[in-house]
Amino acid sequence: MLWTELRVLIVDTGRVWWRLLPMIMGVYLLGWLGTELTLRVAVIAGDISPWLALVLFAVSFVCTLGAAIVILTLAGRELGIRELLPEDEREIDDRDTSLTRLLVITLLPFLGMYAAFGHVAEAANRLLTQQWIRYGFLSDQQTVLGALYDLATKHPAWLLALILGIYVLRRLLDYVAERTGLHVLGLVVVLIEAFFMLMVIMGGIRVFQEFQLWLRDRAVMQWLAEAEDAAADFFAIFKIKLPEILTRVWAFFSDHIWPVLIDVVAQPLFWLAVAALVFGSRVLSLAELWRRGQPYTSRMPGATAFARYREKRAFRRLGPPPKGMRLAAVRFQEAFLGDIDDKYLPALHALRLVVRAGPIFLGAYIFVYNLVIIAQNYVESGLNWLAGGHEIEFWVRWEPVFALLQDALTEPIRLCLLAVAFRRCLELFAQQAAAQPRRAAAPVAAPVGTPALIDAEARS
Amino acid sequence: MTRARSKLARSELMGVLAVIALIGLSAIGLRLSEPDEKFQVITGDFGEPVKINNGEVSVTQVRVGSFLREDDLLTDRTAGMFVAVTVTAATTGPEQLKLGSARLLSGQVHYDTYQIAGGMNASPGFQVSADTLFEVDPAQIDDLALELWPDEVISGYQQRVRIKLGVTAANAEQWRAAARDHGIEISRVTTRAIP
Repeated sequence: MLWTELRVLIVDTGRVWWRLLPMIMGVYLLGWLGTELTLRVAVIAGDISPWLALVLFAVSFVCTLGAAIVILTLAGRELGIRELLPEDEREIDDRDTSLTRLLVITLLPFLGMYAAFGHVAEAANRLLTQQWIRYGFLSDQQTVLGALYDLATKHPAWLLALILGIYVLRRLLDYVAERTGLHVLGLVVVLIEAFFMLMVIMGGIRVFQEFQLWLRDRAVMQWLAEAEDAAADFFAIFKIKLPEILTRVWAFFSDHIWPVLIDVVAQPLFWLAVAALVFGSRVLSLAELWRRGQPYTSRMPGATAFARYREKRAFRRLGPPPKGMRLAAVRFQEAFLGDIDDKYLPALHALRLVVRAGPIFLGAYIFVYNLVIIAQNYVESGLNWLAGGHEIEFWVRWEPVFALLQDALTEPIRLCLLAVAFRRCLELFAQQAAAQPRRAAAPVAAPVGTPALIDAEARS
Repeated sequence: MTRARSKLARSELMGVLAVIALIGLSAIGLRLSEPDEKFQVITGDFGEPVKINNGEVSVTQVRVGSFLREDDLLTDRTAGMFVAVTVTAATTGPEQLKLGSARLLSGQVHYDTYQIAGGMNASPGFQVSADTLFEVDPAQIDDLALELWPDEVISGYQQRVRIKLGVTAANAEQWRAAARDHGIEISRVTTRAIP
């Protein structure tokens, strides 16, 4: 079993990568070129305004993300992920016809992943380094991080207003883009969304740090310290060195357990869940139904966790449409909760879905994923060994080339592995569903009009 | 039925154990693939010039003592041991040689600089000599090595020079004896053209 999973993941990833090599390398190089060019322009644009630099920095992320999504889509197509859908389920999702729509849907979870695993901070440091080299360390010229730091520490209310303003603008444009179907607007929405996320991530960190500093000086922290001392004194009566034990336990957890949980286990799973979003809500919905062992014919639009917000509302809608204040409240709710429902929750549900693919598959997938990361680390060490040690001026000049050599060898393989792993998930769900005795064709949720749904509608 | 169920449970248990083993293997593999030292180490021995980017570095003298002197006045005393390492850095390349950071290593023990007499910066065609002072534990001086590297605010994969000072487990007692009640005078930084 385990051997089969390992073989499927390794062999199929190798096959897909080899078959698509020219295409995915072309896309990857285009993404790299776009990222590097916009990053260089962002450094120069910093002379005019740090905010302009931040906008271009966001564009560089969109380039990276765009390339990753296209590679995942190509790999998914090669693996026939869409063909796994039965004929009558193969409805066209708007993410299949529009790259900008796909970007809008997946940008938030992708950027969240980049931020959670340090890639946003890494890229921000690259930009900052380039700006420092350009201006000098003692220059008065404000860098991107300097501008964000000032805003977050001196004018946090402005930062909050700016973030809210950008969010409202993005939702508005999103609405107009959906209504008009204009692809250009979709692209603008993607860029605004990337800028918004970077503002939240990079500015939010500063606000959080300020909050921590503020909290450190509060009386409540002193009370906690006194309570800790009192507990230590109490346990000292029984000759138990509580602070020492806690310090050791915490050190063991933070040094050994946490890195394994985050880097070794969580990272591959989160990436698989986020990659799953690229393959379409229909694919995810069907996978969910397979996992539950329900026949696909029982599926109703809006019934699954992956359905769009408006589909879910239509599925649950009862009685006459709301009027007056109630209509305004519903519109407001759609404007804000719809975003969470359409973008954040599918990522969460996708994570739940892949986690339930079974321990054997997940163990094999985690192992193979980490093999790719290990290979990436060795490629980096090899390149360092080849180039030898140098001062920072050398690395600033040549870093993009070294980063390209390192990532171009391993990143497409990682993306192909994600596609292969997701297809394997689907196969496993289908097998599980086929193995289970057929239940009566019951819809996923309770039928329309049941008291439970009436209550839910009334609450919403 | 019960037998089949227990067989299934056993196979599930084996699967879970295999998964835990794979996660453990992944963690070990990741740990091993991440280098502890994110710099290139160039090793050398006492008295021999070591080539690095833009120049050569050599350790020309090692002195030990328990107190510091300046113009025959006692300026500092230690319960441990002072080690003063005289380093000469020559810029043979086209760009300035800058070595601003140093530490002493003895196995897993690291000693940070107690005092650097002056910046180890030499312009092209020149060499600079300076003393770097460390305070060490006399019980932990086996295989002492001096590590020097450029002092950069931000750095990439750097070069670090690591020169053995000739203190070994076999002669460590002699060094300790030499340090007892002995004073060290830190010499001034000298710069001159490469001969």
